[in-house]
Amino acid sequence: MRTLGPRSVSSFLKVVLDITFILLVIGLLFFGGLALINAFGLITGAKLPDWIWPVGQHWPMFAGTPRAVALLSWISLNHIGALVIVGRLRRIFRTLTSDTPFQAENARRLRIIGLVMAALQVSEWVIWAVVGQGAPDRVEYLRPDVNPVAIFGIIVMFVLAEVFDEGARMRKDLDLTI
Amino acid sequence: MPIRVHLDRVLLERRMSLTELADRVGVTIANLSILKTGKARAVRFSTLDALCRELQCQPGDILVWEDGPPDPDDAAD
Repeated sequence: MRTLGPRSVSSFLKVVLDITFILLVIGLLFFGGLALINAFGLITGAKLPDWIWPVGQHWPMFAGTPRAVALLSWISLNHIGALVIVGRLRRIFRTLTSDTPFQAENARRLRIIGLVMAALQVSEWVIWAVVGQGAPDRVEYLRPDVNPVAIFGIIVMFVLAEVFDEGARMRKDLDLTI
Repeated sequence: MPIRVHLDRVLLERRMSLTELADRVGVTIANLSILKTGKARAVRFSTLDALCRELQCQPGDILVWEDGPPDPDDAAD
């Protein structure tokens, strides 16, 4: 299979990233909007229709509580994190077709992706501390676990960033070799 | 990098312009300028061979090592 051009792996991945980006924007607008409406309902005490309380439908004990707002905000935050990751990946892909991917800028992008992945992992524990503590037993399954795949993914990102940094240095050397 | 390139001095001694040298050696003027201004990171043996042949000199006439601190670019690597 070809690396670049039509029907190549990268063009397929590019389409996947573009679609994912759009879906994440839609998801962010949806959950962010719900978080805002729930927060509004909580502050004003206004009676909102049932569909506005999606968290409440799954976990009725959360309905109309600050926990619902916290959970929806966390879901929105996850969407923002995923958008940052996919956005950086799209920019890395652009350098693949326009120039060379071995740029210091791409190393920085990979480090950002690693940091965001780590932040999202930590946020699971934070949201558990906010939502899960003192909540009824039914939300026990929300308790975050140590995810080895995610941890390895974060490590891989930082290793790749170092590889790209070295690649960028080698490319600079090559450009300045007469 | 404490390697100094004395290409301009050799060119002056030979009364040769950079453009003429570029034509003779088959290296672009831009690349020769990078070499002349000491911005080059490496020189290929083939380039050095061509330069020495056209300028009728030794590599040591063009490249000189001088004691001194490394350039910030090299230190960063």
